[in-house]
Amino acid sequence: MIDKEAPVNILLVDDLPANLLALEAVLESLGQNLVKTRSGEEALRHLIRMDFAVILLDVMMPGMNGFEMAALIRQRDRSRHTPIIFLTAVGKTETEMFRGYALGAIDYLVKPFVPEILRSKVSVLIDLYRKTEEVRHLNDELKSRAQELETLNLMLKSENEIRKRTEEELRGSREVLKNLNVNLEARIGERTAALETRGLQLTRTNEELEQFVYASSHDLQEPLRTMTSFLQLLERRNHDKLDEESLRFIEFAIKCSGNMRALINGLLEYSRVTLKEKTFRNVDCNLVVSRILEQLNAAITESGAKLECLPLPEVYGEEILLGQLFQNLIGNALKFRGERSPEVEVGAEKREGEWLFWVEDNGIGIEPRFFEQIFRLFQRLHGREEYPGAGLGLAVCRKTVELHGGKIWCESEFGKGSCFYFTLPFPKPDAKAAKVKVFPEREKAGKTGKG
Amino acid sequence: MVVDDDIRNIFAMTSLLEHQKIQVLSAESGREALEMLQKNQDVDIVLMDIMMPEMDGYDTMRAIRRKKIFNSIPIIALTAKAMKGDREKCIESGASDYITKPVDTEQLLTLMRMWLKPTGDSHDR
Repeated sequence: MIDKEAPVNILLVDDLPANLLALEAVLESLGQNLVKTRSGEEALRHLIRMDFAVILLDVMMPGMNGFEMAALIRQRDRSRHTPIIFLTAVGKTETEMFRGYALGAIDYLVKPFVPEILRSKVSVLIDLYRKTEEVRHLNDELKSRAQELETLNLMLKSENEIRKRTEEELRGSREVLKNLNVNLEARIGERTAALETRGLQLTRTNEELEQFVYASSHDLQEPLRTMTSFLQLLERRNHDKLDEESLRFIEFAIKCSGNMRALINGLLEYSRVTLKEKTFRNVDCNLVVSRILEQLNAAITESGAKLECLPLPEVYGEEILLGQLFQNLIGNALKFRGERSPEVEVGAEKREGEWLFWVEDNGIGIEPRFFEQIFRLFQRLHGREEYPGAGLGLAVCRKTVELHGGKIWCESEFGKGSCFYFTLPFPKPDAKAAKVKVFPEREKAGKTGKG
Repeated sequence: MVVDDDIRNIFAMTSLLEHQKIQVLSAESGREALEMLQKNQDVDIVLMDIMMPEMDGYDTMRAIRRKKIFNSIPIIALTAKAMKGDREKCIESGASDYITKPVDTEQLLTLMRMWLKPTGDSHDR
């Protein structure tokens, strides 16, 4: 930044013009800016406004002498280090020389001086001045850089502090969240435990109830059978003695006991659904349905039904219960037919995590308000004469599906047909496939039908 | 701004003030002082020597105060004599305050600080 070739200022102070001229002659060749003054006062005026590389100062001057002036120059920060060379006439004492040095003179030349010596001395001082200026300049730059750095540092520091504070706040919030979480978890744990206890109690109550139903259905059948037997005996033995009305009463009673037996059998079947849950395997639904169709052969032929069975998958379940499920649903589809000959479709498609099955018919249909009700125990929508049944079939279906972890529901357009949907679990890869011969009772029944 | 007819005083005063990081202008006469002030209207304070040839300190201060823009600039008068009535004459001529020569450095700096501060932030830097 500093122009190294720019001339520097040199101050010449002497009261005699001849001396000034002589100095000028010697120093002219250095190519610097020579400022000639004839008094200390004049020199001070320049010094106030300018910086000098070197000052050549005559000691003996009227008014202010060289020493007085040197003292003033040394007082000022700006010129404290400016080199002063004192010029003095021959014959001055050593004390005077020492006084000069004490005032900061860096050299003391006796007139008449050797031009080369003076010139080389001054030129060394010019070099020194230039170097000093350069150093000062670098120093200034360093200082401003340092200041910039300091500012940046301060900014960084405050940013850091902000970040630290934010982090602390975050940590605090996280702590609060953690506490809340722990609380929540504890409460959830309590709730879960309570629910589990309640679930266990419910399961136990359910089991007890089911056992009770099973036992009582079983026990009820015995007296019922006896009652029916005696009624039939009464009818057979006294057929001639009894009048028409009495015979109708007996017939009515026998018919009712038949209905009652059907009810009790339904209850038994319903309660058996839970008792068999331990025998789950992979079951091929195609086999199950084809067996059911064999059993329903008579009903199908009689109604002239068109039955379409799409390919069905393997599921994980209890084979006998699944058989009952399909039997009930397909049986219902045939039973609740209208004027048209029934068309029934059985199918399945893969959904996320389960199979969706359907049994669709073109029968009488169900009003939407009954969609839920039909799955309850002993729910009948129709008269026994119109559509016989105990009102248990769909309840058993629901129990079976729920036992398999699935859902069952129905969609229907009243008068046009119904579709029963249910879901069943995928087969388990490690579970053995059920053997075909797990239907001991059915097999016996099936053998009597068509092959 | 330092106003004194003796360049040695100016130089010494300049050295002293510069050491306090004060930027110094100087004038060797009343007339020069007026011209310089006109050119440098941002001068914060004036140190005025009273005993000057031709136009003395009193005249110079009166001339400065005649100009509206310099109504409130602080002027400290420097006088060699500590005679009764000098202070009054200085104040009458427009000086803000007054100090005797030879100047006591600490006293001068205290006085300057006092006159520079109340006028506002822009002046004491």
